[in-house]
Amino acid sequence: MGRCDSIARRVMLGHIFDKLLGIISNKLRELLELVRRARPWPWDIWPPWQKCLVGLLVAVFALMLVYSARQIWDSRQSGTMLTAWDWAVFWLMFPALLSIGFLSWHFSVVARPRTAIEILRREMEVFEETACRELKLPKDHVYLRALVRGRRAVQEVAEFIATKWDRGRHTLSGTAAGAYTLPQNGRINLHLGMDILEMVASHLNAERPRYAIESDEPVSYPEPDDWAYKWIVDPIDGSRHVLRQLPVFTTAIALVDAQYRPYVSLVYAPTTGELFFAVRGHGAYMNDWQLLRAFREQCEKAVAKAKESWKVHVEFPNCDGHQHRGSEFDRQCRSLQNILQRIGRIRGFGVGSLGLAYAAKGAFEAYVTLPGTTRRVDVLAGALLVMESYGTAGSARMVRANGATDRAPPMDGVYVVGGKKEVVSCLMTDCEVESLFQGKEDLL
Amino acid sequence: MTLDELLGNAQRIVRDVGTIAREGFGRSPIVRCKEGNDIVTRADLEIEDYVLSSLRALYPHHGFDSEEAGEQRADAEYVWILDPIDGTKYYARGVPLYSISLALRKQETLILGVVYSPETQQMFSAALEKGARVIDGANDREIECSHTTQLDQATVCVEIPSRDALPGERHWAMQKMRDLVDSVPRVRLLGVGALSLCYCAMGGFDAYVNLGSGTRLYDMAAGQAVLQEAGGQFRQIRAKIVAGPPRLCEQLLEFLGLDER
Repeated sequence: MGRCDSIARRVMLGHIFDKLLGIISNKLRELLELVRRARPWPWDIWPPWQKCLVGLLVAVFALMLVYSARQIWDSRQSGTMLTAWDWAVFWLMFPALLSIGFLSWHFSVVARPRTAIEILRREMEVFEETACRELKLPKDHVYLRALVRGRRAVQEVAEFIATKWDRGRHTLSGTAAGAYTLPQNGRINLHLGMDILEMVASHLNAERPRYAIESDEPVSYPEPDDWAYKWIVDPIDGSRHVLRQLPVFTTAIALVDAQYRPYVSLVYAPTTGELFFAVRGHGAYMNDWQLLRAFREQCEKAVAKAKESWKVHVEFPNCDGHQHRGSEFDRQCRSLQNILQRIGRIRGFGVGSLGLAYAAKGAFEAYVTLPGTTRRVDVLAGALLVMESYGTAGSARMVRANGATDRAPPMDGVYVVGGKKEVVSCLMTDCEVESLFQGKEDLL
Repeated sequence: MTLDELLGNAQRIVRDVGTIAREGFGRSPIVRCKEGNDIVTRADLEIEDYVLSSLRALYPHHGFDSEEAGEQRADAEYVWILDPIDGTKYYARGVPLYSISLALRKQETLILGVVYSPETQQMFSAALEKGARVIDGANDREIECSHTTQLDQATVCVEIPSRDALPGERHWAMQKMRDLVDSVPRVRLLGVGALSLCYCAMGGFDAYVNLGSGTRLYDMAAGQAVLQEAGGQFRQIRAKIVAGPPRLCEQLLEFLGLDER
């Protein structure tokens, strides 16, 4: 009986031991993974004098350790006593170790923000220099300054989203309380959007001259009396997706003139880290100055150009904007059906600026919006990307919708059709999108 | 060979090939075109090769069913179903909405599914009767389908047949698509089956409707496993698929005029 017990106990202990080993090895693996991902290393961003100081301390500590060990070993062997000097070296080892620890912590954690900002500043300087070179514009040119401001804002948005979005953990709890709806049109606005808008605005306003800032968030920024340019900011395009933790949303910034023609634009998708930007007349780029046109042409070469393989991004109409669901909505649905029947493949992410950016990248041959709630704010930034990426090979048109008025710019109904020339003309005429337009007024 | 162990290995392998996918994203050369305008990139083949060889080394007696390599020992008790890259066209054209999906079938039941989106680094996984999870960076959390019960409050993710489909089928799908746009507040069309199903499983979309885009088993298996474990239903009626929370599924089937007969 007792024997059985002891065997059972041993088996159980073995199990527990296995489990513990498993847990420890898992934790170790996690730790290693964390260390592996820690880039840049704290050591890498220390300035040389900090490296020298810590290095020196480590060297002194090592010398003391070796000396003390030797003395203690010798005294054990020969039976002599340690001298006062030996004791002093022995006890001084501990403050040396402590100071190494403290300094490493201080340089990596406490002094780090400053260095991080320095890194960022350096990055922005590099961006500015590259911009001058790539766009062939002087350093104080209006567009170039605007692009640099926008880029800075995007950088901060990236860092903000990385902590705030936190890959889904806080989003639901954070935004379920933080979300609110605008009763008129069923749009969802998020406090996250307000935060981002404030952040972007502070960067856009950081330099003079300041321009007005327009967005669909319920905040207004003071408008200079005689403005030549204006910022249009959509802090989160795709609020619904953020709310539901879908990683498909963007931040879009555009610099427009009094006629709402875009001159500089940036579209940033934080979850995938994609940045698209364009300056009117100077090309569209993505990420690290990769020319969108080149990327698109390469795509087109690689993928068959047959009409059957055309891919078009469509914004599906939604009934929110049409309280009465009248003839306008019916006509849009008819157009949609025409498009569906004539175009090979349809996609619809529901995020206008992203659809336009991908059209500019060549992933879609064209982009068309049909909903009643599309506003200029949503599409201006992306439209410039398409215009600059396609150049003469494409066409991008923004036309005012039937029944839309000139007043209340944020809610005016506009349609954008942009992309490859033949696809756009097919959309406009064959798919009867044209019939939705009031005249042929081109707003781009 | 426990289910946890199988799941762990599947996750590890899929995460490993994620790096191959990220390296070739938007620049992996197209090796050949298949029927129906489908393409195969070099990354497809590399990923398939890596996954199949590592699985073969771990489980020599299992069967495999993969997009390019086809079926191998498909009558084995356990069969791994792999789609190296779902959304190859997006992948080749630089749209980050593509995924790697791997599922395991024991006889006729799906017991395991892993879908990995390398660009957003989200890993959806599910094992039979153990729930569905998403591992997103350092977070690992359980997911479940949306709780929306009314079709007129739902966001629906749709897929429609491309132009290669039969005209009759296509016409029917266009009609239904129009009806959906007419009566559902938001319609989305991502064009990647596995990811759409996973987003549906985590409540990103309320329901998923495939109006006959010609999907095959390996496109859907992993997504189906994740969705079912997240509390959703997966109903396949001929070439059409309706998936989502049970009550929405019923309503959608009725709305589309589909019945199981």
